[in-house]
Amino acid sequence: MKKILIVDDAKVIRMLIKRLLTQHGYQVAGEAGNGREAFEKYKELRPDAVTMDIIMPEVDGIQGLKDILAFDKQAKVIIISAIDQRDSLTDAIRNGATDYVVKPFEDDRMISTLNNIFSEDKKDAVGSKQ
Amino acid sequence: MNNTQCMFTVGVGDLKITQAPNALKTLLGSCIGIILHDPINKIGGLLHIMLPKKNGTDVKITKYANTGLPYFIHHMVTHAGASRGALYAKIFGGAKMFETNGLLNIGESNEREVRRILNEEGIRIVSAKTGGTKGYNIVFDIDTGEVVCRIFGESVMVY
Amino acid sequence: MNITHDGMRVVEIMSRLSIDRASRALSKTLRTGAMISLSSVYIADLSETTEKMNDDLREMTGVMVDFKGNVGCKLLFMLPVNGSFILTDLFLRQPAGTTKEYNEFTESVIQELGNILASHVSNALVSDFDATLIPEPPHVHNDYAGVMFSNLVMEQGMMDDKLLLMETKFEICKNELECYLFLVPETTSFMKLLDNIGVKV
Repeated sequence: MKKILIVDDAKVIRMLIKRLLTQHGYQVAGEAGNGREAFEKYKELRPDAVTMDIIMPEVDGIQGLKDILAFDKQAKVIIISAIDQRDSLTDAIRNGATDYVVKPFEDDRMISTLNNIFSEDKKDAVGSKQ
Repeated sequence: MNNTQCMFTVGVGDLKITQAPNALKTLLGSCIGIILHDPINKIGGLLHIMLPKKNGTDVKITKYANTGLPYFIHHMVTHAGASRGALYAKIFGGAKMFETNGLLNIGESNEREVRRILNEEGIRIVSAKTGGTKGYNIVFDIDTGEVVCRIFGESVMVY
Repeated sequence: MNITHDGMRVVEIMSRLSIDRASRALSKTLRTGAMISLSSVYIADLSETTEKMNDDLREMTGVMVDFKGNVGCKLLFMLPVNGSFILTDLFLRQPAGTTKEYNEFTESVIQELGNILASHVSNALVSDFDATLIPEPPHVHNDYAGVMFSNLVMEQGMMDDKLLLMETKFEICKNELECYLFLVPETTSFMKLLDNIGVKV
């Protein structure tokens, strides 16, 4: 079962994502309310993927993303933000985000995003065996 | 306040002066409401300042403590007919509300500046209710000098 | 602050487009018909407008958002405290009437709604009018309606005695849920934005 770290400053968003992920066979490794906490939790829990909001107090999600990627180049971080702007998107991609989901999102979109990143893992694994 | 004839509302950065049996009211967040009262001539005013010091190019001097308060005192005495020696002050507000940019501790700075100026002008502050994180609703009865103050979520107090 | 008739017309278009975007996002978030419409855009005198709002002693819950970028702006979304219970149930997909008191979930829902509304307003202004605008984390507060409104206009009132205000009305679940969304742009940078897109102000 893949373990996910949920990062958002809004408790209710963490709650809704948690409910959605567990309904679809994911395990929630932990929760964080800003980029700094996310980095700390990442080091401690080593989740398989992170869902990361951008606008958060103290340390934002882009900084959290940078810190996590600097620590673990293979980390999978999906940005989940209501900001739907080219600059934010390119900033996230340039800093190594795996995908970008705009809030409010459909449940299917979120689940398919996660399923995709893990199915790409499987493909890579098959590819490397050949 | 049963005998109040007219109730005037004071907006942000505004000043109103009136006489008994009228009343003045305002709502305050981080702003400070300064009441000056002459109990002998039954004249009172309410100044609603936003900031301690004027430094912009805007024209409304009553938004600031350092320009609004001297103007208020002068107006009370020379235009409204209050006696300088009889004046006392009451101050309210200065809450720390939303912690958004630039407004941190503005309430405290406002209060400090108001106290400094009143002290310099030799006007006694007979009561003050300031600080906290919630808004103030104050109603000032010019006849009695009483101020009914209700802080959001708290019971009514009279000062 | 002065603005030409043409300038005001453009401000109205900008406001309507950004409010439309926020409205669609709100509908999707609450999974119900939610319509926010622009009721007025106007230039108001700081003291006069707050004097009017000063009589409003209703107990409200509100969320204030600051924006950073080349256009300074502030947003306030507020509604009566019991209205926030309805939004909490919709947001959390619970049966109506589940939320009976203000709690950490209600606060978090209002916080997130502030974030979504502010983000989508800024998305529209960025994509349609070349602004750079990103919301800061929202702040939730319960207080008198008049106090929250004064707090909204205060920062802009430090620079100018006149304010540009955008006011909206809401319709949620076909009922007029009493919600208020105000936008107050920082005048100087907003005028520059209008100038950049060729509008004579």
